[in-house]
Amino acid sequence: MKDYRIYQHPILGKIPERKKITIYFNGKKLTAYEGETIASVLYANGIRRLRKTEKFNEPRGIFCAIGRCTDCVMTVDGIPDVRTCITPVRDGMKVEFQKGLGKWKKKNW
Amino acid sequence: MIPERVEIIVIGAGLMGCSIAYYLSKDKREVVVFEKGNIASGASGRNGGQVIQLEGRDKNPKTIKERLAITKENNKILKELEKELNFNLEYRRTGSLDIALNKEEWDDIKETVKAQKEAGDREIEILGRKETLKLSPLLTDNVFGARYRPSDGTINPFFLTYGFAFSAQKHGARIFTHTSVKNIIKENGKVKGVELEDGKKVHSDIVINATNAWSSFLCPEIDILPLRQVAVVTEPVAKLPVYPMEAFIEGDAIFTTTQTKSGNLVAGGFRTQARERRLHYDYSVEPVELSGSSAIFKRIFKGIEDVCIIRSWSGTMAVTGDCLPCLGRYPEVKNLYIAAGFLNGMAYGPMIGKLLSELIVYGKTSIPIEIFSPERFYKKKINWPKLYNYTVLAEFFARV
Repeated sequence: MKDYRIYQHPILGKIPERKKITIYFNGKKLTAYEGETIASVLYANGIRRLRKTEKFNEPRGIFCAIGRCTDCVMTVDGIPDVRTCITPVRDGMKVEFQKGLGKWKKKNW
Repeated sequence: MIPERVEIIVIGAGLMGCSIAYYLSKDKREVVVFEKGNIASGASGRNGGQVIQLEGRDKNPKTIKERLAITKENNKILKELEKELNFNLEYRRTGSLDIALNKEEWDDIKETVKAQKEAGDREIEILGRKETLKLSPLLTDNVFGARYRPSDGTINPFFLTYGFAFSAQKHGARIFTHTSVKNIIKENGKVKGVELEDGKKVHSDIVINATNAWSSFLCPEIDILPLRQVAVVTEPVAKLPVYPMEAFIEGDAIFTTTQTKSGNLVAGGFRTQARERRLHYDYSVEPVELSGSSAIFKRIFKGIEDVCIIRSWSGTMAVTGDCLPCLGRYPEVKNLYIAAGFLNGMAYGPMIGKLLSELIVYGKTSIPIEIFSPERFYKKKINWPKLYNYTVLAEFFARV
């Protein structure tokens, strides 16, 4: 699969190497680098559809990328509605596609 | 076009005003409503929408009976109302809790439930710590227990008020928003109409003051105190096991609600900064109130720390000298009526409209409302504390 990451930036130069970690998207293994956000890892792996809307079942992806618009919310480690564009990845993280507001899979209570 | 003469004038287009206008216009009466802001722009549109039939910790058997007689009937009406108004009200019977986070509160709740059971209230229940957490697992583990009433619920307060307003208009009532009433015209012990802010006079046979926190500006003989509270709302989240809730934390009354249909949680009441009477009409929210109200979620829930607050607002309720509503004929002035002093209007609103229209049309009500009579405060000076908030008032009422 094509990697959409920038390794050689025209102004910033060579991006320093970071620690490789693994996250899971709907059970599928994805390679991520420490410090990246969930949404950027998915984007780099060619995944653009992050959730579906409640009423019309329309796909949504990254929109504002600064944690305001909530278009990129997904179920992360069983917690629904996590804004993936501002949440950094962690090794072994389980990210899931979400419909509407999703469901609490892991109960914190 | 504002008419010069009508049969009935209702002042205030909140829940009470709109519900009174609906039941009167349904009875083929000519009704005009004057509202200084917009429909539901006061407390009717600023609350959490909890339908709690016996809010607070009432231990007086007489008032428990009289209040429940009205609120239970109100609950019945609410069930049929969606069909009657042809309007989705988002009414759900979820049950409600009054939770205790310390030993003192827990003792007080147990005492309250005992008193209410003795007063003939059969459905109220007391839940221990385990049962409370089983019902509402999201609650903090510090909870001691709760009072539970299964038939309480939640409603969308905007939809309820607008539902009444639209239906009243369909029946011929006219609602004039942004039309402030300056005073009520009285002559020889009889009401003659109202004078609007611009000096225009509108004559009528009957005037109803339904302005709750603002009623003392128009009827200064009855002293009704404004009480400001702050509320916050979260972003929509996936379905959670939560119930409409009251609690007293550090002497302050707080509330949380069930999730709205779109998934938001509403909470409020904690740490209101207003102290002077005039500041209780202020709708701005101080930063410390925002953080205090937001902290409610952390105090009583666990596991939803990451949920964001997206908006805050404040609203003004009203308190009478004994915390009960002030409802009925105004003393010494014929054909003037008052419906004010509501702390928890959602549990009363539709029924109050019905009862007051009965009082006006038939001269008597199907459920006795003598206990709420305005006579009990008429021209009586109440020594309200000069600077107050909920905590101060709670102490004040404990002394009286």
